[in-house]
Amino acid sequence: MIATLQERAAARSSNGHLQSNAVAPAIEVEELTRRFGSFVAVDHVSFTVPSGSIFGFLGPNGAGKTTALGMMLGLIPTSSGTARILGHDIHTNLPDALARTGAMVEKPALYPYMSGRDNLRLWAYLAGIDDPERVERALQEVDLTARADATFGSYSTGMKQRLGIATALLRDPDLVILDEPTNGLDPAGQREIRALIRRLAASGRTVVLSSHLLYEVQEVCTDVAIINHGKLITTGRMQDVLHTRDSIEIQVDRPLDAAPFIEHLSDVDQVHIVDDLLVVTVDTSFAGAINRKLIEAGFEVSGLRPRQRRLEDEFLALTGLPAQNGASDDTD
Amino acid sequence: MTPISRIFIGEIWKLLKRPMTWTLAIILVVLMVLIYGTLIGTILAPDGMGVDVEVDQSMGTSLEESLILPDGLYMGIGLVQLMVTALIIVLAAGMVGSDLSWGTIRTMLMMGAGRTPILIGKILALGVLGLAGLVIGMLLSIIGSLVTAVAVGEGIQFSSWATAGFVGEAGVLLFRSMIGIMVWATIAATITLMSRSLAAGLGASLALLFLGGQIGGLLGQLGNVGVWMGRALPNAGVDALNQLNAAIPPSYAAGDWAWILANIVGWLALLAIAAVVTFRRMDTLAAGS
Repeated sequence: MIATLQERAAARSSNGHLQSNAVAPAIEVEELTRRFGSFVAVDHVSFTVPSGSIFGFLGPNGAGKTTALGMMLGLIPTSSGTARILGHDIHTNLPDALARTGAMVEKPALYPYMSGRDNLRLWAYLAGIDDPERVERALQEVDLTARADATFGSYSTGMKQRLGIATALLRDPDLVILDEPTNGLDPAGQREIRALIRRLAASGRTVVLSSHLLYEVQEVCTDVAIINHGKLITTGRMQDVLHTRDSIEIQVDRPLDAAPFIEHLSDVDQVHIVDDLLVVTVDTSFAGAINRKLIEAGFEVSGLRPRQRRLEDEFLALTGLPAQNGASDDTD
Repeated sequence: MTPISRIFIGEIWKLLKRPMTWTLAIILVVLMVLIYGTLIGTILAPDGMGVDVEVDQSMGTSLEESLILPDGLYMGIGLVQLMVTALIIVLAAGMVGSDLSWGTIRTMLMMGAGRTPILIGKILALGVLGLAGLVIGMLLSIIGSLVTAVAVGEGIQFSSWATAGFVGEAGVLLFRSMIGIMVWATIAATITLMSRSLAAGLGASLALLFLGGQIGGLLGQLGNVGVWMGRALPNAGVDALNQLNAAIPPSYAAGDWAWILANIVGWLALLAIAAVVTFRRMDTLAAGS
């Protein structure tokens, strides 16, 4: 099982890692850029991943998430910019940057002809881990002990993802980077992975979750960076990103007529129609006044409530993507 | 940073776990049995089996001499070396190519293995497997020679070959063959890495192995310039070294040794540097796509 936060803290305090890592951000990305010819896959991206956070790295497919992670992990050369992982610069000290980092990027990359256990034993050996218990603990953590002796090639997609995560956990890392870990999983499998991510964070680790699934990031993450077309759109605490603007949701009989009417009222920023509901961007203290004006104008208002900002709304607003493309339909 | 020794042992472990390695080992054994079985059958074939009797007789006599020990050692190593080299090329291209296509190369990198140590570890592991293949093949060829001796009625005359000199000569033949194996493993592994393609690494290396000699010979028809062009081919130095494994080896002058050495060292250095530079610049996430 994963060590508790206190156990990890006690273990680290002896070598001084805890003190430095507890203060410094887990990751600092500065102007990271990757060009492929004239195409700029990642364009001067900068953000900070706070220590101990579950950090969502969100963007549509092809936004540049995996390329950015690949650069941070030394898998892809950078065109310019740099990153510091756990205080170590990736250009000058990549081995130390990776020493306490576990990652699964793009897809679980393991040997199909070897068993799950043998794969982990191999990676543990390469990572300088000679304690066989570490392999068993990693298998237990992802609930694969029962199938550990089957070949990786025979695993289901979910089992492969879990073994990939177990590989990332082998070194008992302070920082875990998971790129689209729920890809190809059924809802139950996705839930398992999200629960695992929460357990990892609860044990004191920083987790970076790269995903194109908005609800997944909103459900799990404490912090977020949104990237699109290789550029960082916004970053910050999830609650700050979600509460930048208030809005209310109005159920009204003729929404197409009501929308322009409301739009002309003072203090109203924007009006959208979502699923036959009017979504009005306005200070929620004006809700009563809007209700009154609608009734006075002859509209029949059957519902009015503050709308809980969803990351999806923010994401669509920031990226300018149409709802049908930006919103995920993979809800569980 | 993962030390080379761990990468080397890890590569050996992977090779031993990989079904392809054992398939190639079985192919080696089957080929040796088939070749020696065919050769012994040829020697023992009665006259007039649809083959020109005189030619058959003369071949049979010649074969008999070259198959039975101690001369059989040279024929054996010649056969074994060619087969093991081809199999190591397949293994080298497969090893590097599948690490790129499965993405396991990036898992290695994330576990702290450096690019240059990965390349060195892989080639050393291939060398060890090549040595094992050569030893197994040589033992099979010696068994084949003994079976031949028994089959033609000469019996196993230990005194004519079971000597310290024979063992020493076998060691020298193995050592020379190992140099060739390492060169070919490097060629196949580096071409696969640089081209990011198993097919390219395999195809180019096997083409050089089987056609390099002929190309060199054709170039030699062009006179001195052609001869030197032939000597510049990647296979030329190793081929020249391998000729010393024959029962009657050529005698090389200092000038010959100079170009042989320059060819082997030059190509090894060139390929290694090019591969390391390519590897360092490689987008390992896209490498296998």
